[in-house]
Amino acid sequence: MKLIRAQFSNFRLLRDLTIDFATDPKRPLTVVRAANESGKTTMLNALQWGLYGDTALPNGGEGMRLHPIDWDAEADGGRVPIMVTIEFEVTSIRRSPTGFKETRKRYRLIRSANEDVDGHRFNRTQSSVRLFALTDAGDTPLPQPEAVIADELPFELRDVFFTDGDRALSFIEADVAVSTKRDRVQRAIRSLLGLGVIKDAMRHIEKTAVEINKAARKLGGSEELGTIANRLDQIETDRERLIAELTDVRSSHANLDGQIVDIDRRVTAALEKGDREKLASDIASTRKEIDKIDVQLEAAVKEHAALFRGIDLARGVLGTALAPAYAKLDALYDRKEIPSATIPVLEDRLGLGSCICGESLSDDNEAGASRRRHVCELIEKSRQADDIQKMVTALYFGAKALGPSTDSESRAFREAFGAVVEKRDGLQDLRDENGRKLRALELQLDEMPDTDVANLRKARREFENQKERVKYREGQIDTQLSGLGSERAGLVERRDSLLREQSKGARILAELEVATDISGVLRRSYDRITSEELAKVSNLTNEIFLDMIGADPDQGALIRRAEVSKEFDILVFGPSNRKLDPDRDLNGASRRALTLAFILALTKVSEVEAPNVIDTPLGMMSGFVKRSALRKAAGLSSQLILFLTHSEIEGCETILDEMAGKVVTLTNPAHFPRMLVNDPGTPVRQVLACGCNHRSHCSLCERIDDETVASVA
Amino acid sequence: MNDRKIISIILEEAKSLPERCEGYRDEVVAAVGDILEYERQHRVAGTNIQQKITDKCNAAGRFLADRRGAAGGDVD
Amino acid sequence: MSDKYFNPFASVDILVPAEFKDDFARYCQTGGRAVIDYSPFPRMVDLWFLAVCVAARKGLEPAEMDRRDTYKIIDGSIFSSDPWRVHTLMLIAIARSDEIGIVIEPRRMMNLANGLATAGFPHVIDMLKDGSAEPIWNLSEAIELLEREAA
Repeated sequence: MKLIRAQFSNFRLLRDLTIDFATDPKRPLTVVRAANESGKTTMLNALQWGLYGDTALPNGGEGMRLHPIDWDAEADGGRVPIMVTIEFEVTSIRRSPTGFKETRKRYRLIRSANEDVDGHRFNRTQSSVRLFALTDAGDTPLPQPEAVIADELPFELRDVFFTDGDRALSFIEADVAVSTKRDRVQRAIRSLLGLGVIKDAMRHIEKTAVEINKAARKLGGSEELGTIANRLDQIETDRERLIAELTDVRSSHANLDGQIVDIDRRVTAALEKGDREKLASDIASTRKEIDKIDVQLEAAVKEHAALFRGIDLARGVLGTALAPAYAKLDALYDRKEIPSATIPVLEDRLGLGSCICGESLSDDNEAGASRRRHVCELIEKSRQADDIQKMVTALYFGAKALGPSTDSESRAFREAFGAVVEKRDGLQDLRDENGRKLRALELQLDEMPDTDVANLRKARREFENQKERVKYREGQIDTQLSGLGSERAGLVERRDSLLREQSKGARILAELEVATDISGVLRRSYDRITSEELAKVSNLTNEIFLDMIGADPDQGALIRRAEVSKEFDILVFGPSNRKLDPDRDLNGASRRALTLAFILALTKVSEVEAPNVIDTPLGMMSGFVKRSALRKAAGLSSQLILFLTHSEIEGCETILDEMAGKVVTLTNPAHFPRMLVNDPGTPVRQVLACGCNHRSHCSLCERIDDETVASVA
Repeated sequence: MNDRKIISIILEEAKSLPERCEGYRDEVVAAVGDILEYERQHRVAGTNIQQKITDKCNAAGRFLADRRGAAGGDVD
Repeated sequence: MSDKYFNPFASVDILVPAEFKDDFARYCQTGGRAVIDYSPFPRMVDLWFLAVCVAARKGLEPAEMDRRDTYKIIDGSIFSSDPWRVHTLMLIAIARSDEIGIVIEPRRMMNLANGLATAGFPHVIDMLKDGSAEPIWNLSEAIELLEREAA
């Protein structure tokens, strides 16, 4: 999707404003130049409101006024029509017999709502949205506009396509639970990589298999077949119910995690207010330490389990059990008793019809035929010997690692196990120590007379209890599902063998095979996209991120690489692979760069054509970092729309000369006379646009001293 | 979204399917392509997706059963 | 190690008697979100392979597989990335059959391995259970002991 044009009407400061966006692939950058309080964030909100409605507004739009604050109800009426119109273009690709077929369609989306103004109070009607397909034949209204938007710019990807520089950290911010961040990253990745469609298809195919199973039941002829089909039917119903419940339970789990993190933050704030900073920071640092140890412990346990799939285990267990085999191989090798290549000679003789000794090998007489049979047997035997020779040679040279062991090899398992024990015990002691420390600190908390803290603690305990119950239920559902899974596998096997016995069963069996095959292709594609594409996103995020911050000597020395882990965490590593906390160890510019890098990498890898609209992305960056971030972003995005202040633009003019297809300047007339040279002479408060680019100004947008404005910004 | 990429991955994954009868793999690939197209349409227009997908599977199943019948057995 | 190594077991099934199904589910991490200390084996094939090795080490007679109710845990293609496992199975087959020629008979070799695994399972299960700690520790200590005895 590419944005072409947006029109705003009575949306806060945007009383009447039209913006055209750059769509040229060679110059994909649109710059909206605006000082602070000149409508940048308003426009970001307005675009999202246009696409998604009130849910996209801060706080779900609750209590948020959309009409201009100085609306004159007496003169212009108490009902304010608010409207956002967005024109966009969508490219769709589908397979056709001649290859891939690409079509471009243009749409116009209009969202409108009314606000009834009564003094300081207002009431907003439910917004309505219409969508028109724009064709040469005219504008055709389309049903279900929300569905088109959901398909092209899914709501869950809002954080990817619309980024507010000041809170561009939703994927890495420290204030939310790990599970929440993971969830955001995971949803973004799955959605952008188109996994939703595949998942839906998988679900529907499963239902189809259930339908076919019902047909098997109706087939009759076998009572057992009917019973199995019924039971399979029941299993599917149960599985569906359990899977739905599991999704709910997992989301409450994540939600409770978030609530607990939130309470901890509030407790910290309450403690700081009550001059108990020391206690607050002790608790926070102990919790952090525990989290860190838990991660290391988990890795150590995995290392322990890895011992059971290694060669050291086999060597340790087998001991001398393989010695007879080695002795046999060695003897063969020593005696050079390797079967010779006799086949060509024998085949030659067969062709000639006479043996080396001169006897006939002809089929014409009994003796010749018998000799001929003997030679054929010899050839067959030699062939086998040849195969054996090849295999044994490969084995002899390949299996050295398993052979009689050296002193250190014969202790390899013990040594590896010893190292694991040491690591696990050490970490566990550390974990216990920190656990005791935390409990002691929490005891101090519980004994505090502060009622705020006491109430929060009570609420926390309640959440912890709820979490325990939820975890318990998760375990139960998991168990039930795995039980149903194995029961189903057994029944399917039996059903298929019964179907094979029936004449009419062939067709049903074929349908079931098709459903299984389709489902398998979809599942494998899904897994592959998740793992392979995730690795690509991770590599590209790293590349972009390092490129962006590479010139920053402060961060350059600290940061070695970034990664999107298989668990969907965005991680940053320092020297010697030490994990860094993006929120604590990175400066503001690097944090923004990291988020931008992830967003751009994700968009790029998914090959999705979609706009990246970013408000003040370069705010905390300076010099070379700013320029490399801008250049990288403009080069990677298929359509990049940046809201930039004058100071952000400073130093980047040449990049904008090269990459900006459109530049527009927004001016807030209220800035006259403090910051604007000329009086725009508008009677109402509204943002005005002019076509001035990053190097020019006109009588409307000329500022008194951009330097001063920038320093305020 | 990114249709081209998804379709090409699916085509590749379909290569590992057993050729249960002559032309089977192509039949399944076409069916998967159609099913994804149905899903896409369904997202925008809310169609009777389940029925369409079941019909698609039935048709491919009939293809397989007929060819097997004609070949006189399973060529898997 | 190269994953292009020729794996003769690629299309041969690894079988387990049905009676051990629950043990496999309990001690392997495959599928569920297992607690590693209680389910130490990363994959089912790791438990199976250890059982083969234990039977080989203890000189157990391979169980007769034909008459048993078995199920397939996976096929031998899983060894393609671990050539040393292929070698181990071949060497065990040579040692047991006293025939070099067995190396070109993957089905016979696998049949022997399946039989040995079946004979070895009860011993591995004992190794997991015997001790006062979680299965991962019991097993580690039992294997440590085996290694010491061999040295």
